[in-house]
Amino acid sequence: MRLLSWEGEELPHLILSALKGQRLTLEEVVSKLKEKGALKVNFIDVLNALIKLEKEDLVERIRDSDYSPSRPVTTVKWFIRAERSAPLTQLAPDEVVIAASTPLINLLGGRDLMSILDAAVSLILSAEQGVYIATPYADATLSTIIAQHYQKVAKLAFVRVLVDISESNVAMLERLKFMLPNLEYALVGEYAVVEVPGVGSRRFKVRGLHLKALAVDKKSALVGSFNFKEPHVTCNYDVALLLRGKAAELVWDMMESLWHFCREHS
Amino acid sequence: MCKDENLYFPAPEGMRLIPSHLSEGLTKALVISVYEEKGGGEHLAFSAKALPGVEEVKFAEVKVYEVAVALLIGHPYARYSERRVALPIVDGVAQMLGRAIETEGIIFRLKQSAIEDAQKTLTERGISIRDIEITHSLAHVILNSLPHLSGLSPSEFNECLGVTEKGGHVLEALVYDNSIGGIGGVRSLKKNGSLNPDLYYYFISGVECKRDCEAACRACLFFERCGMLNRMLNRHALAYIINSSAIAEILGGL
Repeated sequence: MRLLSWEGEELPHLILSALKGQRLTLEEVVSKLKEKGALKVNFIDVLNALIKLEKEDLVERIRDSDYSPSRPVTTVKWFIRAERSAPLTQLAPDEVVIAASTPLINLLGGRDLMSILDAAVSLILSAEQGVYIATPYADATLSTIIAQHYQKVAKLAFVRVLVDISESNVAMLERLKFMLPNLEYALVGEYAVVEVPGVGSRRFKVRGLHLKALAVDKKSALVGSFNFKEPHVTCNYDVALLLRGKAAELVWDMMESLWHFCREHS
Repeated sequence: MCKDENLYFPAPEGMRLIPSHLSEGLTKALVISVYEEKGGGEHLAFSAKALPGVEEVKFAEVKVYEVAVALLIGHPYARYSERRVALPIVDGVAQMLGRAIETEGIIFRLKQSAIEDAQKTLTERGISIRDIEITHSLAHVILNSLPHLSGLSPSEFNECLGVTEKGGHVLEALVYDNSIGGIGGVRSLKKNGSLNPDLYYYFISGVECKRDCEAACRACLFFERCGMLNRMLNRHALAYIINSSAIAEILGGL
C-alpha cells in the first residue's frame, strides 16, 4: 500500500476524486482517503485542503438536515461544485481528462464534467512561455477569453492562432493583435480553381485546417471537436481531451510544425 | 433563614432577603484532586499552528483522587467571597468527603516556554498571571465544549491540573468522565487518532468572550461545577496557547 504525503500536492487531487458524485462529511472524506492509501492524512490537513478547493470554486459545502451548529466542522458536507472539475494544477501528470461543451454537459446532467471553455482558460492561465491555438472558425468567444486574461497573456512570449481563411476571422484577430502585440496569426488553407465542364470555374479547398486544439508550453494541451465560436457555447455537442505529459508535448510539436509551415506557405 | 420550604439569603447590601429553592448550587465543594495515568495512553494528532502552546494531547485511562476539603455555602448565584465556609465535623473530627475513580480522560500538556512567554508579555503590560491560571483556563475551554460535543450534561465531566515534578509548574490539564470506567464523553474528543476538529471551534469561544470580560465570566470560561469555584481563570492568557486567527483560518468560516 502506498503511503502518501498529506502535505503533498496529491491531496487536493485525491480529495476531488473521493468527492466524485458524493456529498461527504470531513470524516467520510478522511476515511475514503485512507482507503486509497493515504494513511497519514489528518482532519486538519484535509479541512485545509477542502477550504482551499472551496476558495478556488471547486468544492462547496452544504448544511443539510444532518448539520449541527454545535459540531460545525464534522457535520457540514462537501461536494464538487457543479460543472467544474479539477483545474489543470490539480491533475496528475499524464492524466487525461474529458471535457465537454456546456450544451453536452447540460444534456448529460453531468456535474463532474469539465467544460471545454473552463479547460481552455485554465490552460491559458497556466502558460508561462507561449500558447498555440488552432480553430478553423473563431469569433468573440475566443477574443473574450484572451482579452479577459490580458494581464497574464500579455506577458507570454507569443500567442499564435491558426485559423481558416475567412474575413470574419481576420477582423477579430486584427483587433486582438492591436490589443496584444505578442499575438500572431496564420491563415491556413489553399484553394485550387478548377474549370468544371458545363458548370464553369469552381474553387476547391486542397489544403486546410480542421484541427481544433490548444497547446501550452509543451506541457498541456486540449484537443477536440470545438471551434471557439458562439454555437460551441450555446448549441454544439463537443468533446475534448485535456492532456498532459508526453501526449501534450506531441501536440505542441505538431502545432509548432504546422505554424511554421503555414507561415512559410501563406 | 428557612421558611415555607424556601431558603432566604441576605442580599449583599443587607436590606433584603433573596429566596432560593433547595438546590445543589447552595453548596460548592472546594476540591483538591490528583491523578495518575494507567497505561501509556494514546497520543492524539493536533494542529500545532492552532495550538502553539500545547506540547502534547493524550487520551488515557486515569485514576483520580478527589477530596472535598470544605463546603462553601450561599445563594446559588453568590460569589465565592460572599459564601460561608463550612467544614463537616462529626464528633469533633473533620469529615472530608473523597473518592478515587478510574475513568477515561484527556490530558493537555502545555509548553513551559509558551507559558513563560505569556507571563513575560503580560507582566510587561502590568498583568501578573500564574501558570495555573493558564492551564486551568484551558481545562475550562475543554469542559465547556464537552456537553456540546458529547450530548452529555456538564455534571458528567470534571477537571484536574497536573504539576511537573521539577519546578512545580502547572502544565497539565486533565479533563475526565465523572463516571467509573468512563461514559464515553471525553472519548468524543478523539477521532481517528486526532483531536476532534469540532473542538477548534470551541477554542475560539474560550479566548474571545462575547461580553468582552476582563478575565473570565459565565459567557466564556466559567464552568458550573468547577472544583476551584471558577477562580484562577484568565482568557487573555489563553491567547498565548491558542492561536485563534490560525483556527479561524483552519475553520474557514465554518
